[in-house]
Amino acid sequence: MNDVRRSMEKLSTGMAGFDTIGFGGLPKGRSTLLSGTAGSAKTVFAMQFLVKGTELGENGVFVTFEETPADLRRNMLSFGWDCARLEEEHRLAFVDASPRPEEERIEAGAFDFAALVARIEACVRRTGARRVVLDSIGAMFSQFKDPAAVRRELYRISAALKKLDVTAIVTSERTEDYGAISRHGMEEFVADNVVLLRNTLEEEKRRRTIEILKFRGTDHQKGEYPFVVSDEGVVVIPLSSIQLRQKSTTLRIASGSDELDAMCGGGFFRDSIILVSGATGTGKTLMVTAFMAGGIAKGERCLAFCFEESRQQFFRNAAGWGFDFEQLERDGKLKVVTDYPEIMPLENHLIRMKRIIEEFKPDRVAIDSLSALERNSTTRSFREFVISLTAFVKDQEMAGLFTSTTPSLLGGTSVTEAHISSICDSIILLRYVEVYGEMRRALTVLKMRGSAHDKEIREFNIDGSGMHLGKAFRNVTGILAGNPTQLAMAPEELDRFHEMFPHD
Amino acid sequence: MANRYQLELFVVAHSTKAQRAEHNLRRLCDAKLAGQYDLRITDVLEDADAAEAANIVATPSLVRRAPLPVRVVVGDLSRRDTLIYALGLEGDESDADRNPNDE
Repeated sequence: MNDVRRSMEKLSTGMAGFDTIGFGGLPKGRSTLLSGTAGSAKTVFAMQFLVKGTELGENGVFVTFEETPADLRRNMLSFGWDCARLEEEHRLAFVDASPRPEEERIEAGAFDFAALVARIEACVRRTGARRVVLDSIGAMFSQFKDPAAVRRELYRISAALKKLDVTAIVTSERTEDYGAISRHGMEEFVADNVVLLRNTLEEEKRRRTIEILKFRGTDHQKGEYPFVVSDEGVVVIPLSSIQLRQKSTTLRIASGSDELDAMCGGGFFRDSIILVSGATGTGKTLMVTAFMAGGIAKGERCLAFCFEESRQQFFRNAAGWGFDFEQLERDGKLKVVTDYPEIMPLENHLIRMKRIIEEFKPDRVAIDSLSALERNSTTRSFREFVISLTAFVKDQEMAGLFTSTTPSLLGGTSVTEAHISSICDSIILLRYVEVYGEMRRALTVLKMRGSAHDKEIREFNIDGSGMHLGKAFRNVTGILAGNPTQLAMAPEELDRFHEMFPHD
Repeated sequence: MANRYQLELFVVAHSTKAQRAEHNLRRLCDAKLAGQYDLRITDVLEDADAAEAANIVATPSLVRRAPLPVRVVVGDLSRRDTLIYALGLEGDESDADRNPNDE
């Protein structure tokens, strides 16, 4: 009975994203097989488990079968993990079972791993470790000739770990990302819990995912979750869990245009995501500028990520509409981050953007544009990025305004929208309209979750003082379809026509 | 003596494999290296630090520290030919007192 209850207990790994998909962490007092192809970040994950453990006051033992402790100490410094210091403080210890190149090892008869078990036990007792890593046991099959003996002896180690009541990660190689769990049938060795790391090539882009295949006797999130290896180690992006806890508010905030506020029934909602879609030149960046300026005017902190324009361009445009963004940034009210989407994978952009948001703590966040980021990713990563970022923004009780560039000048939708329109709370369309040999701009609020809104397609003008909404295009149809047609009707007739279909 | 064999046998004391390994080793060494070897037997359960320092994974493990290069022979040493090769004791009984490095 006691044993059954204990098996349900989880140990926080100290890696937030992983703990979320593991419903609290790894099964406590058990061994978990961590399997992945070469370069899938097994060693980084395993070491992070120990380093995070030391931060939680739990010491760790790293048993290395492949890399020398000296190599590991050096490699892990790039994540800011100072193994040597942790060793001096007796919080981390290595058991070195890596082959020594200067020594020749010859087999001459029956053997067991009692020596290794004795070393692990002594090290765990000496450091009082609660966490143990074995990395990677596949190496034992190349160090010793008899695979049956190695398998039997690894089972002995597994039993010893259980007796020590430590939570262990045992890494193992796979030859394929979708195939046998591990190369030497090691799932039989620690079959209770299996976690898979994948590093696949998709649409010419690398994609890392983590999957908890099983936790015996206890629940976990199913399926693959993206992760990145950043300068702070493995960061798991737990998608579905963050979708679940979205709050909502009836608090309204100013869009930066009184006319647009009126169309939206009194402004945007705080904790909402607004998508602004339009072709190039329709005024998306102006909407972003107005959204930022409107927030700052109300004493809110604003953050803009620009992936299409340089800082200078963005500031110059704002100055053209009468906003001194450079000064506002110096005052700490505004922060503008400009980057090329191509400088890093989308997953890394996500981690970085989240970090900037957490540091700056803005009330409003704008991204100009999502389409630019989409260029640099696979369809799936892009969708995950948007889901994760929107959930994060809402969770922080911020308003987000994201722009999306449509590929065709007249009408049309972008691929971006197909993936994110359902995630956004409000959608504003900016379109070109050809009227009697002249290009005019149109704006319509397509969707406003939780509120009534103006459903007219209004004329949208840009001048030196910013954006202005004019009258509805009553005598033009087919604007949104990208096929505007003039109606030859007298104004009185049009008014009558519109009265037949009253707005709600 | 300069060319003495320095041997250390890591075992779990009183285990069958330990007894077999020590028996096999002594029988060979007494035949081929009489008076020319030092053998130390270390119980890994008693002295895990020594096993750690010598990077011993398997038991029994015989470490030949001298002559160089260092060699590790794993197992109960029941494969006599392998043990002879591993210790560098190839050749017949009459060659037993020759320095293996001369070959």
